[in-house]
Amino acid sequence: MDYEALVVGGGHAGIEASLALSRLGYSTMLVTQNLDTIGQLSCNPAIGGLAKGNMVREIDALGGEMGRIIDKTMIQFRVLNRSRGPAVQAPRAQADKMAYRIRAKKTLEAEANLHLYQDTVVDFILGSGDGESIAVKGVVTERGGRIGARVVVLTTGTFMNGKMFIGEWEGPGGRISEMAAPELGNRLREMGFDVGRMKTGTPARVHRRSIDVDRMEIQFGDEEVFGFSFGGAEVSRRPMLPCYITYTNRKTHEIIRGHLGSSPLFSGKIAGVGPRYCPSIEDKVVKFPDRERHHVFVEPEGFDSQEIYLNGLSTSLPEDSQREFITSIPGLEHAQIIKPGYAVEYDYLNPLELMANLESKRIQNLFIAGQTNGTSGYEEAAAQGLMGGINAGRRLQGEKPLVLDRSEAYIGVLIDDLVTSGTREPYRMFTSRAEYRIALRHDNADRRLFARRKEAGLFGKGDIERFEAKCSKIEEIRCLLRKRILGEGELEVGTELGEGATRRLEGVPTVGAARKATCREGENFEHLLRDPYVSIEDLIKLDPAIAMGANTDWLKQIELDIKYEGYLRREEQHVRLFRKMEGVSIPNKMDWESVSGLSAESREKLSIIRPASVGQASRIPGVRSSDIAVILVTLGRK
Amino acid sequence: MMEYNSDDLIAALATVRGRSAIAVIRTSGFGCVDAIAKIFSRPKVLVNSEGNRVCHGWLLRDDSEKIDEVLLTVFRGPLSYTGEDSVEISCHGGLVISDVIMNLLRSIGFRDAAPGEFSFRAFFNGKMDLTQAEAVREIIEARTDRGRALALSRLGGSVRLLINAVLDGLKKQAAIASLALDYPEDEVERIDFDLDEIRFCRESLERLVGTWRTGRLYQEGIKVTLAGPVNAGKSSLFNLFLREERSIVTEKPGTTRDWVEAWVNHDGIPMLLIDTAGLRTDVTDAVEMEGIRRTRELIASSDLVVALADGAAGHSRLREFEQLGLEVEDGRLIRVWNKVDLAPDAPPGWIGVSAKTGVGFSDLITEISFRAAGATPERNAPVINSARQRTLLLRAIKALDNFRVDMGIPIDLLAEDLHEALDALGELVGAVKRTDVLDLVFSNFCVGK
Repeated sequence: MDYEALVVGGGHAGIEASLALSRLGYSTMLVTQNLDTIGQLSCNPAIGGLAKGNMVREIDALGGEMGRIIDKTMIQFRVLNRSRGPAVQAPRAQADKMAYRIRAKKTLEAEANLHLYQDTVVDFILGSGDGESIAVKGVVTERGGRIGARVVVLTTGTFMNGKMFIGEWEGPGGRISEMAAPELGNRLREMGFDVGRMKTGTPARVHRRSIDVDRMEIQFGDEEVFGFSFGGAEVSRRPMLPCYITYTNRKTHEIIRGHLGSSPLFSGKIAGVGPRYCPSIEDKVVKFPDRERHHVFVEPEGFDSQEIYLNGLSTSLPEDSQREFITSIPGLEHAQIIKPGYAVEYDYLNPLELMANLESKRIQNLFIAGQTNGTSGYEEAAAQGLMGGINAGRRLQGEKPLVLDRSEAYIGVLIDDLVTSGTREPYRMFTSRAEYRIALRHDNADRRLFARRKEAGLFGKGDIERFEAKCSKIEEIRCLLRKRILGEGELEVGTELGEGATRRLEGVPTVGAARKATCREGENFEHLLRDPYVSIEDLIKLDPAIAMGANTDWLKQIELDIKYEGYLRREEQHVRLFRKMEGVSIPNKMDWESVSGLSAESREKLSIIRPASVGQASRIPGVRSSDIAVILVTLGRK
Repeated sequence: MMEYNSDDLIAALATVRGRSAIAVIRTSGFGCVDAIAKIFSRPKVLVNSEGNRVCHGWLLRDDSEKIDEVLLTVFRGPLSYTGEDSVEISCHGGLVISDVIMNLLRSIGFRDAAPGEFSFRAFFNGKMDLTQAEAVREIIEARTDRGRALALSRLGGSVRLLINAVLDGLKKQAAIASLALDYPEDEVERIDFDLDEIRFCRESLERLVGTWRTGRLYQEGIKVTLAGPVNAGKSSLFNLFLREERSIVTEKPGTTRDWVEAWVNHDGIPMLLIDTAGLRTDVTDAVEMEGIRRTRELIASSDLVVALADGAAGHSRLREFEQLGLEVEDGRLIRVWNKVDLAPDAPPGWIGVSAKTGVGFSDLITEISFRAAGATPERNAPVINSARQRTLLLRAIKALDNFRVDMGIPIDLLAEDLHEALDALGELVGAVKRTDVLDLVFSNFCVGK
């Protein structure tokens, strides 16, 4: 059995990697331990969120699948942080978990070049690569099968040496009641990979009929729903389900404190490092003893499921302790636990051993993506899967890697952080990690990344035409706004100007009375729109022709582009400086031992990480500006 | 500084070349202790010496000829000034001995250090940040004790301490912004910046920027031109400046016969004092006109102009004085009414001085200090004196000025302003990493579902 490409794992990274490779025309095999859990949402039933939502739209803009799957399977949609400025807003959808998984599997099944296969990979077939390097040639499975492939994308998630913890109990597994894959992690250790341990956790699921939602706050989704995908297809008109909010209380905290001794997190059983941004309820209670309550978000897992996800109560306490503290929470007094919360500890591979195309520095043609690289989150995994798949394809073609930089996309920030700084805890994307976030809005992802998508070559039917039509319409409207002058007499109508904007700015901290917009006759519409209190809706009221043939989403983009022009320009200057340093490339074969003047610590890190550019070198923790001066001098001398 | 090599052995005389009881030759570089052991009477003791130890012995030529009795102070990297192994040779003073020793060192592979190269290596090896490296250079260049004290206090990191304190305050605010950036409203509802903290940070930076002129003044000195009509007594006043000053730095005649300059130091302020040709209105001689043109050029380029009038000639000469057309704005002009020992009191706005008796001279110096410095800085308060530091501080202040929570500016943009300020200050004392801010978020706030 020989394939051009082989993907190990059928999670969110594996889905994107296998689809990218097969859609680019390569014969591809996806090997997974269980075909029925392809695309499983192992933890919370949601896709997107701050920064993550931006990544989902970037994945879509590059030709990935995640946005399209969630658009078809969402049961609630919200734009988060509407009150906090456009650069930090992002869409999030509650997902129907089962529907999501089925849709993901169907999508893979429909791909002509993709062969799905249920098996467990235990070893690699290695051979010689370029020069003296070792290259992967395929994999060996549990049952002794040998599958040859020219490139392999490894996306094992939490399954390598996965170990589960519930109170005193521990057992092997990647998800509850699912087999772990112990051999592969050990094999990678033998091969010299830097393998570490991380942990993550999940809360208990309870039966819908056993909870009393009347005792909770209700949380509806937005009225207005748009898709993550730029593909133009409508979001399925599924009925939208609400979520609920309740709170822990002192009694809950007391119960938890009383059982800490039997928590594997506190007894020292778990060695792996957990995420500080997603702490277990035990952690929260211990670390913030003054807090009288913590949020609990009560989220349905789907239409055809009675499972309710208790977001915020991630735990690994014994099952009876879980029952005790959960039933102390209003609305959950009679909650029936149907799946206990648990912690899982798993092997991850130090991402510093990867190049920016996600290829291993040790083994040629081996690409590694997703949680295996020390990240957490479906979106982070999918983003890497897509880039790993695209780059594995480029390797097959002998093309140069496609690497997004930090100024282009959150995905660029993600991968640069991983391969430059590494990570000690499960890495999650945050808005604040992106220096150039003002430009990295979710709504403009397609415009930001279209050229990259062209490079990658992942297009569906009509994608290019649709995109070009949108761009030319946006240009047309911008022209119109520049030309259109506020005429004499229009000011009577103009007294209404600003109301829409004032509404939209609700929640922004303001002192004193809201200022009214000041609009003068003779000014063009673009100029008027720069006033923070004037919205594009105000202008459309004056002149409906502006909105003709445009979708509301595009109008919003135009408005933001104009309002943020000054900030965007300032950011562009920073980007230019940043690119200058990125542009000074460092040869891959650079002999760091021979560069004099470097500190020992920097020398060691530079030797391991092998930065591709001076810019990347400057971001390596511990590398000082004096080292950068030395590097520049050294490069300059050659 | 880029032309320095940084991997070989360097040596330089660290004390003044000339007659002295002892001299110190400083050496640095990988293997420098072993190298010097080859010319030392007790090589084993030296090679095995720990850092911060002094070895006594003789320097030898050709293994036997005693050159000088010396004390060698051994420093082991990274605990040395340069961060490398280093030996300081304390030898006897005088030109001959130090030259012989330098030759000896050259013969075993040392090369002469370029100016500032020890500091450069210290910077290269991460022993000091940029503000400190600049301070080292300035210590060498500082012309007065006061300037040296300022440079030393910065070397000790007083500027850095202050900026670090401001950075800590701003990082906390950035963490608060980060909460809003990284967590949705339903998880983190209230975003309250500590506006007092931001105001305090801004004021601290403002104060620091305000010291720039003072810092530069003590560092580089100011140019003071004496101007006025012929016979107003400029040369007498010039000589008085020199007489009162104990350590004249230089005195040289002007390149043309019509002006003289000297470095003098009064009240801790180094001044380049210039005595110019007398101004007059009725010049026809071409040579003299050229002289006056030069005087006007000097006046235009001076920090301060001391304009003299001949007080003995009485108030009637005031009109004549005004007609000279000095064209100096008031901020730079100090009017001196000379010859008060002979004449009636100075008119209002004039300082009465007698260049002959010295009466009123201290008033003039006080006025010069006051004008030059604006206000004298508090003793030991941190002071900046490089344009680079000033530019970065101003960038940070501007960013904080843009940080206005009452203008309807959304929080994503406010966060930009905070980061702009952090970046600017980070450039002064070492970059602020975004993960530092995230660490603060996780340790100070209970976040995450």
